[in-house]
Amino acid sequence: MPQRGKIWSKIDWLTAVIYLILLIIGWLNVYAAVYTESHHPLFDISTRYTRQFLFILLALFLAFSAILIEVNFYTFFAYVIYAFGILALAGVLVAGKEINNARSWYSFGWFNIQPSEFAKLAVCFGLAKFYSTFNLKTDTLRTTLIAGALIILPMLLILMQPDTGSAIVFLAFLIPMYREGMPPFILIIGILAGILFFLALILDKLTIILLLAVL
Amino acid sequence: MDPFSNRKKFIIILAAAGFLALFGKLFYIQIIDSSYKVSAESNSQRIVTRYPARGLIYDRTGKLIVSNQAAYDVLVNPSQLQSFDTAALCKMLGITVDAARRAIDSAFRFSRYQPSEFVRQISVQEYAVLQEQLYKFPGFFVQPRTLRKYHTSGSSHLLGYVGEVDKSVIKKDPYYRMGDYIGISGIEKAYEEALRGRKGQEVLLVDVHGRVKGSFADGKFDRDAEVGEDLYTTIDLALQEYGEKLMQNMRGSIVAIEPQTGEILALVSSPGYDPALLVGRARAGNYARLAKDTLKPLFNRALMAKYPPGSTFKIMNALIGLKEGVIGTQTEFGCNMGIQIGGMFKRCHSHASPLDLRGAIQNSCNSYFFLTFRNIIENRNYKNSTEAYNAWRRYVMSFGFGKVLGSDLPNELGGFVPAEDYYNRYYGKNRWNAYTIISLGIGQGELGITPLQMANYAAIIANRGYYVIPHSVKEIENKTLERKFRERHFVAIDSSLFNPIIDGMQGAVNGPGTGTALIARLPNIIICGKTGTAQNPHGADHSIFIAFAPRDNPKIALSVYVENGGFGATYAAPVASLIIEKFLTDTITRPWLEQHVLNANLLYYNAPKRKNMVED
Repeated sequence: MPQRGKIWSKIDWLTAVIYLILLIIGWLNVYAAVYTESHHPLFDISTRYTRQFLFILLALFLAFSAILIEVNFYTFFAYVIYAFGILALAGVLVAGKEINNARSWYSFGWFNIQPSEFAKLAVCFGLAKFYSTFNLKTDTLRTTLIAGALIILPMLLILMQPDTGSAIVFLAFLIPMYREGMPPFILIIGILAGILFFLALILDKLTIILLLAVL
Repeated sequence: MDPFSNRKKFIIILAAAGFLALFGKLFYIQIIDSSYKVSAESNSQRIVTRYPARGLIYDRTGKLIVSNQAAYDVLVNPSQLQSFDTAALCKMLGITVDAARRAIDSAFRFSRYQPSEFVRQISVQEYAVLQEQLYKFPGFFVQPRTLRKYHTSGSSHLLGYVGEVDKSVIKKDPYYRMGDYIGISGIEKAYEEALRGRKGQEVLLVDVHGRVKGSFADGKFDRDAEVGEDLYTTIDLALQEYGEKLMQNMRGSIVAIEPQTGEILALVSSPGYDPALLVGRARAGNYARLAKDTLKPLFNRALMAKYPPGSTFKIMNALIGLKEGVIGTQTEFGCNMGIQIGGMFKRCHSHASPLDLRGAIQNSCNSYFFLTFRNIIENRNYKNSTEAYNAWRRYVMSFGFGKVLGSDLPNELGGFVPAEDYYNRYYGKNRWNAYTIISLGIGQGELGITPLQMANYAAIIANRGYYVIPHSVKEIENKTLERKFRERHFVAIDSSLFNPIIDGMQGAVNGPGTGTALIARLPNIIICGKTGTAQNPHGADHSIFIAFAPRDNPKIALSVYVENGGFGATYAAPVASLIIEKFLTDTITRPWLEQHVLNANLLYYNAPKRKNMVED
């Protein structure tokens, strides 16, 4: 293990600490929300806060594992991970369990898995790998279209579940794309669309049409 | 180097702007907007309702009819429960251990810290026993409520009853909350706003678990309940109870009115029920039982039953005939056990012939009023029969027939006097005439009249041409009577035309010679009356009598209906005569007549329809 000392010094401690604080706040909130006056044992698998605690432990274990794995592994398998994410999304449309009129979950007995969560990670890998391509001209339309396709593919699969909310989250990848050189007008259009969306919630249709006409 | 490194700054600015917006909103909610503070405060105060006692109801002589009795709801606060002697508590409250267990379970489900109902409306007697033992049962406590107490075993249709409000009422009127009581029918419903009083409140400070920590703001927002206003009704309770006694073996109704004022003296619908049956915990069960009863004790016949008026309507046609000038008081028609009219032979009963108007009413001659009615409808002063019919109908409606009178009692029906269209639809336009609808001449056919309208009709004759809308309440504490119950409504017949008719009604009861209601005669009081017999498809005819007395300056006008009672003189006239005697003299001098009425067997028995029955 030649790099043993380096691992810990290379961690973004600020992010890690923020992550841990959020974990704790989230867990306390779950505890408060389901608290009843009657006494319940702290460790009871049937309570949500106990289950949340188990998930926290599992997440920390996975985080450590992720750190310990050789970096080249990720570089090498990035597209494979992306492909797995897409396959999982395609599979859930066939083998998923229908909950609230949407096929978004794989059911494994006592726990369920939502592949769109893993797809987020998969797209991260795919996108990062793509933008790391040697000699890539990142500010061309062609590059943007290919990167965009990497995002739109999982989005379409999730929209078919249908789970619009989860799909919209993938638009956040426009921000790193912009950071890496995507033509700015796409982001500006995106922001304008977002503003329009919120206005539509607040104002009535006629006002918006008039506003757009004036602009 | 990275050519886009300054884009990182833009992203940071964007994110910072987003968080700034969130903080702004947070600031607004926490510091500026008070609506969340208000809803948080409501979490720390509890408003306990103080229930007022309902107003009392008196009769016209000041006798108490309805008052209140205390009842106690037993509540349970689950958080304070300790193990207790379940069997002893259940025995005291008269419930099963199972029921107690279920009540406690549901209380737990509702809230651990807020009280829920355990047993409702226990009596004073049960409460007295419980109170001594209550210390043994921590977590249980008692909240006083008031229930109605009745000082009569009848009058139920008139008084109505009180019950818990339902969701539709709560939606419409924000005054009411779940569990409040409200008048559901009769006077209780009509005068709900006066009777209910005003709820008070007590604002308590509670902690997050709903435990009381004391009075909020030293009781600044507490308000005492205002007791409901007392009602003085127009009812003569003694007369009402006597009427109920007379009708105990009959189906039907008695409505008695003071003619000059329109005050309802008695309103009996038989069979009735004991109003105490619909009080408190027993109500639900008893109500279901009454609703299923084939005698329909819940049905208020006095206001809602529609019968043809039968021969009592001959008075109406006589008045219209006089007014239109198609008959005079001296007009005589011959009758030989009936007459030939419109190609049919219409039968009558045996009496002297020919008769003038007075004699025709006294003896209730069918022929006379068939001819009168024909003269009204075939009157040459009108373009055609239809026009004449419409004029006739206007007279009839001016007497309050065919429309809701507008009394203060809920659920009053308007009855039915067919409009022109009705016959047009049935026979075709201009294809009907006096002969087609000739049975209206003697009050049969399509007419539907309620007993209340009929009593009002008697009052109009007693008043010689006007009525005051019948009403059941004389005086509300602190309030004057509605104007509409003080106004006189004049009918479309001149008052001078009434006297010849009243002569006939006097003759029917008092003679000389023959009369249809001689059985109703009183030695010292001149009763004026008219018998009627309503044919009905369900069996024997209904016996009807309308009357007023004394002849001059009348004190009482009434209608009596006895379902399937036969001729008017058989039961209705004796009942009316006894009611009049009771009201005017407070004695009964003819026990044999009272016995005749009391021995009737008409509650369940319905004689088969007699064939070839002739109007009396």
